[in-house]
Order: sequence, then structure tokens, then C-alpha cells
Amino acid sequence: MSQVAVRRIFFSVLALLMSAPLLVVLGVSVNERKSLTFPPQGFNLSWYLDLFRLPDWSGALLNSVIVAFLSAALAVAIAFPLAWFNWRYRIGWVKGILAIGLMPFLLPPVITALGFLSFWTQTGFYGQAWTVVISHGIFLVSLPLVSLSLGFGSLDDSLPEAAATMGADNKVILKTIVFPLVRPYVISGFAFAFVVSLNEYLVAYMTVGAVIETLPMKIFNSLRYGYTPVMASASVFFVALTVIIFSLVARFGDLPKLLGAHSK
Amino acid sequence: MNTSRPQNLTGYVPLILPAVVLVMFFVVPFGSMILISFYKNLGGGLYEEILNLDNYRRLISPFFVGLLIASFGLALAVAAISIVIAFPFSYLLVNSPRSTQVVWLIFMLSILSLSESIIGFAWSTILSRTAGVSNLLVFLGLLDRPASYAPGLGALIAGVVYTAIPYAVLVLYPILSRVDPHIEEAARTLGTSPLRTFFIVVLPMQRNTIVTTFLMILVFTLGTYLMPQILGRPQHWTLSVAISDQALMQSNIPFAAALAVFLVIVTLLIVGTVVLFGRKENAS
Amino acid sequence: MSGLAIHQLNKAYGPVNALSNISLSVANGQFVCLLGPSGCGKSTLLRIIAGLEATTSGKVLLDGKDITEVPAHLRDFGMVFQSLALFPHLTVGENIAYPLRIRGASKEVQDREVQRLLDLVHLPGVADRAITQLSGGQRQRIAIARALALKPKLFLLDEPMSALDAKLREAMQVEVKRLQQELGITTFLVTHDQREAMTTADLVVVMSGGVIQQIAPPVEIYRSPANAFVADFIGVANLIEGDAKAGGRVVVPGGQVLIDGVAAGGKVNFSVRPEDLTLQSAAGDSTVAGTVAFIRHLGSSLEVNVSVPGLAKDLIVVMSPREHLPFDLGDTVNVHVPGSACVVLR
Repeated sequence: MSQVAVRRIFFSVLALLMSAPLLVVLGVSVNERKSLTFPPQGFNLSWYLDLFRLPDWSGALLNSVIVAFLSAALAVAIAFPLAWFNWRYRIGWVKGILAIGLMPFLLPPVITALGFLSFWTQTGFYGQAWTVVISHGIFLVSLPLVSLSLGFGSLDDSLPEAAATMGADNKVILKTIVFPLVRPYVISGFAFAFVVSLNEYLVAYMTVGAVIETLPMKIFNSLRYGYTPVMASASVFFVALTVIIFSLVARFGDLPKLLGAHSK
Repeated sequence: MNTSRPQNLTGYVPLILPAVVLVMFFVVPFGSMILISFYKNLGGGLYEEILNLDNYRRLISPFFVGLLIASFGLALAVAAISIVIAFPFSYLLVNSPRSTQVVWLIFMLSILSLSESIIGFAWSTILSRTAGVSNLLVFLGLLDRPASYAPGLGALIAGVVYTAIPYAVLVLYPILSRVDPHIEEAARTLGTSPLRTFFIVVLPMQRNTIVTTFLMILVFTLGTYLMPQILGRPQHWTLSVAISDQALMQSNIPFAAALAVFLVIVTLLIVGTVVLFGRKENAS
Repeated sequence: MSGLAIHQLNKAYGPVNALSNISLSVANGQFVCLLGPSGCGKSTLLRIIAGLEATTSGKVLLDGKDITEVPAHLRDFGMVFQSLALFPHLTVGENIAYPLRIRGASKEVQDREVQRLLDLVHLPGVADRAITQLSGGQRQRIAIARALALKPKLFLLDEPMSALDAKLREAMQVEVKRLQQELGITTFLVTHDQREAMTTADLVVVMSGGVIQQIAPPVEIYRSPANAFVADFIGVANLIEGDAKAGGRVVVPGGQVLIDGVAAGGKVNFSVRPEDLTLQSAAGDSTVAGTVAFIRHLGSSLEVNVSVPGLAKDLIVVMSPREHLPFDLGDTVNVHVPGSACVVLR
């Protein structure tokens, strides 16, 4: 059997297995009645409207989006100068600071979550809504850090040098050459952080779980306290959002290269 | 490129600002967590700043041994199953057309990023009595009446494997994409069949990659938190669940911190092994 | 003095000396080639002149002014990089106008200058194209035009033509030389191609191992190489060692060579070009005996390898292809070595 045939069979089976749970959720999300049944009985899109209509669900959705946007922005704001400095000067010990930035994502999330819980408690800020933005921003800083390091690494060194011989100083080179060329990596770093923050449960729960409900918390709480079809429509909405964002990243950037692959 | 140092202190601002933020919001909380793990718990989220080893003494208990078995048993099973699926998949993926690669990467990235609560919900639905696969089995005549498979150990492993496969693929994909395709072509021209090439050339060549990926999945699985609560029973709860349970429900932050420190040490040991393997790989 | 001068320059990377004790003085308007094998330090020297690399010790002077510590962006030199370093996110016109734009030149001035520079490199009308729409040779011209946009005091080229195919490369060499003469601009070209150096340079700086081996006009480098390295690196050289006797007689393996002015006693090393040697059947007073080891017809010339017992390498003799060769492989021949064509090496 040829490799192509093996691949077709293997890929089809895996695609089916891996999409099955999501397809079932899609099915129950259009159920006519308010029950967890599959195949769906009837067809009804009102649970999607409920996601935006019911204040507790739309509120949770809005919270998630705001937190994700702000913390992704914070993560990029921390990662960009760090990655730039490391690329521009190549000083050995700067790698150590980069390693700190990679730590939160490498360790199990519960570590970062507990660290922040005790930190916000000790500093007296526990329960403030903004603490989740800082917590997520730090937790996710690894993502733009990795994508930006890749981006800077892919720049031809002679480009900034050429700009320098034409009279551009550090600042002008950054603005006119470096930034336009690493912009796809900035955007993808932001997108990765945004998506992961949107879906993150534990860090958000342990820092602001008592005062703010994000959509992943809302889904988990509903799971514990009784089924509602809005859970399914919310889940499908998030799956769609996640796929769309990564598709956009792939559309405007080189996804295999972003993930560290060398083209053959 | 002229990599000389910044000429004055202002030149270091792009380094100092992020460094200060990272130290203040990661190193300090992390350090204070270690410190708290030596404090005495007073209950109700309060603790006394007296250094002692009580929290660590509590680690030698049947409760903790049960946690270890649940956490590492789950992690080992998930890592083994995931790599058996993800390695051949990634190998086929890097050799497939670019558009196929991109579609799969988007799919894998999406599943990896999805909230555990969504994936847990999806799996509990597909394993449920009313909306699950058992209905399909009844329809096919393989089963008399629909049954529920969740919660349970099987459901838990299935759910965690589901999230670990994308992780393993995204670790393996860049490594396998760097392998020189001529090595396999050489084996093929020498008369080895594709399947034999995979088993006698590709697998042995990637032995270190497989070991390090296995360890990475182990670390990844140790972080799973919602799955054991959604798809498992209380006896399947892992260290991650116990840590947040101690911190939030039992309000015993010092003991939660001691458990967390233990988890960090285990994680760093595993990651250290991975780095060591990587060095050996580069040296040879 | 006016021009560029380098005084006792050293550059070390950790324990490795990339450049040792480089001194050099170039008058304004000259075309200088830095020539040497890869890793000889020629690119590092050019980058130090450009201000892209710091020196370990020594000075760079421009028109008598010390510019050693002046950063690259304040030197006003034009440089063309090996990779060309055209900005991929800018159009051809935007690339050329870049140095003007960052100095705040008006749109009109930018457009006018882009027109002028595109005319200068014979590529009018491509200003709105993307870099990727240009061929290798066209990109080359754009990189040159961009480097000349500021009317720089110094024009630096770091092996920009090495990626082009042979024919295009030769055409560009002539083009660059023409431009340089037209603008009268002091130019440094880094190359490992001796033909390129011969084509373009007023002055060739031969480098090896971070040390300058010889500084001289191209013909002089070829006709009187300063040492065995230069003789061997530039063109093809027959390097022979012999014992000096009285009367300019040098005894070599297979015969003797008469070289005027060689003092008797001790070893003598000399180099002689293949086109100066001739083949004859009889031994003479300045001949070396050997056997014909290899013959190749190169179209424009005929090359014969003569193997001489006691010499590590065959002697190479080049003659016109129209000459009749009365010898065959394996024949014994005598190679006439005219003493006047031999260069005694230090």
C-alpha cells in the first residue's frame, strides 16, 4: 500500500474521531427542545440568540473577550521589546530573562494560578477585576515571545545594516524596516495569546473567579448545576471563533514556519 | 551585524521594563508561594509566618500517595496512547501537501487552545446516555439500550488524550519537518518498503525525539485540571485539582503551596531530562 | 591628506585575530579591490570602513579626520551588500528613495532623484514594481542606485556580484567601473574573484589570514607578486625552488634557470607564469626536462602539464591553440624558462 493511501485512511479516521465530540455538540446546540439529545430533534437556532440575549451568558462572553484582548495586548507589549533587545544586541545573559518569560507556560498552569492567588491576596488586590489581565498577560507572554523571536530570527541581518549605512538610527530602523517586517509575527503572537486567554479557565478562576465569570467558567458551572442548550451554542461559538482566528493567522502568515517547521 | 552594547542606560530600557514586570509578577509570586509552603496554616485562608516543615510532612500520607498514583498513572497512560497516534500522524503530515498540512495545523491548534470546559462538555455529551455514541451502537444493533460511559477512567483518558494529541503533533511537527527526506529516499532505493522504512529507519532515527515528546506530554498532562472533574470520579483527581481544591475549598494555601512546589520540582526534573536529551542529540 | 587612510588596525573576535595590523592609504577617486580567499578578513575590513563593525585597535581616517568611533548612520557612505539587502516590503522606488525619505525630503525631490538614479543604472520606469518582480541583474542595479542616492563620499560593495551567473557578472563589473569613473567616487569592492579585481580596480589589496599581502595596481600584482601566496592566488603560477650558484645560475630539479641578479648561495624561490614558458625538444641553458603528463585544448588556449621529477606540482605551459604541438603524452620535453619572466619571491 502506498504512503498516500495509508495517509488518506489514517487521516480520515483521525479526522472523524477528533471532530466527533464537536459535531455532537453542534448537533445538540440546534435541538428543538431544551434537552440533551443526539441526533437533534427538530432544528432551532434560538440557543445561539440566547447566547447574546441572556445577560448572564452575553456578560460572560463579553468578559472573556475583554480580558483576552487586554491580556494579549499586555503580553505582546512585554514580549516585543524583550525579543527585539535580544535580537539586536545578542547578549548572553538576556537569554536568562527570556527563559523567565517562557516559564509560566512551561509549568502546569495551576502553579502560575496559585502564585497569583497568593500574590494578589498578600498585596491586598485579590478580587480586583484588573488583576486577571496582568495574570493572563504574564501567563501568556511566552506565546508572543516565541513567535517574535522566530520573527526577528528570520530577518536578514543586512537589512537593518543597509538602513544604517543610509543614515537610519536605531529608532528609524525599528520604525521603517524592522517593525513592518515582523508585523505578521506580532499579529500571530497576539492572536495566539488572545485565543488561549479566551479559553483559559484555571488562572482566571483562581484570581477573579469570585467576582467575574468568563465563558469557560460559565460553561463549567452550567455543567455542574444543570444542562442548558446555551452551553452547546456557546461552545460551538468558541470553537468557530478559535478556528477562524487561526485560519486568519494561516491566511496572512506562514503557519508551518510560525510553528517552527523548516520547509523542505 | 554590529551587536555592540547599548551606548547608555536609556538603551537598556527595552530590556529593563519587561524584565521588571516579569520579576514583579512572576518571580516574586513564585518565590512567595515557595515561602508560604513553609508557613503554618490557620484556616480560612489565613496563615502564620512561622517557618516549619509540617506541610511537607503531610506529603507522606495515603492521601498524597493516592494523588501521585492518579496523576502519574493518568499522565503515563495518556502520554503513551498520544504518542502512538501522534508520531505516525506527524510523520505522514510533514510528507503531505502543504495545504493539507495547513488545514490540520489549524485544526490541531484550535483543539489545543479550546477550553478544557468545552472539551470536557463535548466528551461528556458524546459519552452520555441520551446524546452519545451508545445510541449509534443501539441503532447498529450492537447494543440493547443506550448506556452512559462518563464519568469513568476510560472517559477521562479519552478526553485527555484528545487534548494531548494536538500538543504532541505540534511538538513533533517542526522536528520531523527538519529530517532530511533523502535518508528515507535512500532506504527506498535500496529496496525497503515504505512500512519497513518507517519501522527500521524513521523510528530508530527519531528515538530521542520520541522520548522527549513523551516527557513533554507527561508535563502537559500533569497540568490538566477540569477534565478529571468533568470526566473522572473523585479518586481520579490529580495534583492540579488537589492544589486548587486545597487553596480555594479547604482554604489551606500553605499546603496547596507545598503540593505546588512538589509539582514544580517534578516538572523541572522532567524538563531537565528533555533538555539533556536535546543536548545529546545536538552533540551526536 | 584627502582620501581614506587606515592606521594599524586590529580586529579580534575573542582569541581569534580577524585582522592584524592593517595599514592602507587610498587617494580620492580610486577604485580599490579587497581581494582574497573566503575568511581572509576582507569583508570585516569593509564593514569596519562602513562603521558596521567596531575595531579592537587602530584608526580609520577620512580626509584626515578620525572617524573610527562615528556610527554607520552618520558616515554617509553608500554600501551594496552581498545579499543586496533590498527592503522586501518596499517598492523599487521606495527602496531607492529610502535614504532621502528618512531625511525628510519632499515627495517631489524623492521622485526626481528616483528618476535620475534609475536612468543612471539604465532601468527607467520600474519605480512602482515590487522587488520580487525584478531579475537578479536588475536587483543588483537597484541596490547600486540606492547606495548612490546620497552621493556618498565612499562607495562600498561587499561581493554583490557573486550570486550572478558568469556572463551577467562580467557585464555588471564593466557597469560598476563605468559608473565609478563617471561619478569619480572612491570605491571599495570586496571580491574573491581575481578577474573581477583585474577588470575594475585601480589598486588591488590582496589579503590572507587577516594580513595584507600586497597593495599594488592589478598589472603589477600579476607581473610581480610580492610572495608565493599572491603569485599562486592571482592567476596560475609555476612555483619553483632551486639552489643559487654563481652567475645567476639556479639549479632546479630537471635542469637550470638563468636569472639575472640572483646572489650565489642558498635556496631561491621563484614564480613564473604559464604563458611565459615554451616547449622545445633539445635542452638549453635555461631549461627544465620533464615528460608530457596532460594536454588540454581550452578553445582560446592550449595547456600542457609537464611532470618534472623532484617538483611537487606539474609545470603548466600555456600556448596559442594555433601552434602545432610536436609532442604527445609521455614524450620527454624541455621547458624553456626565460629568466626575465621569473619573479624571485621572498
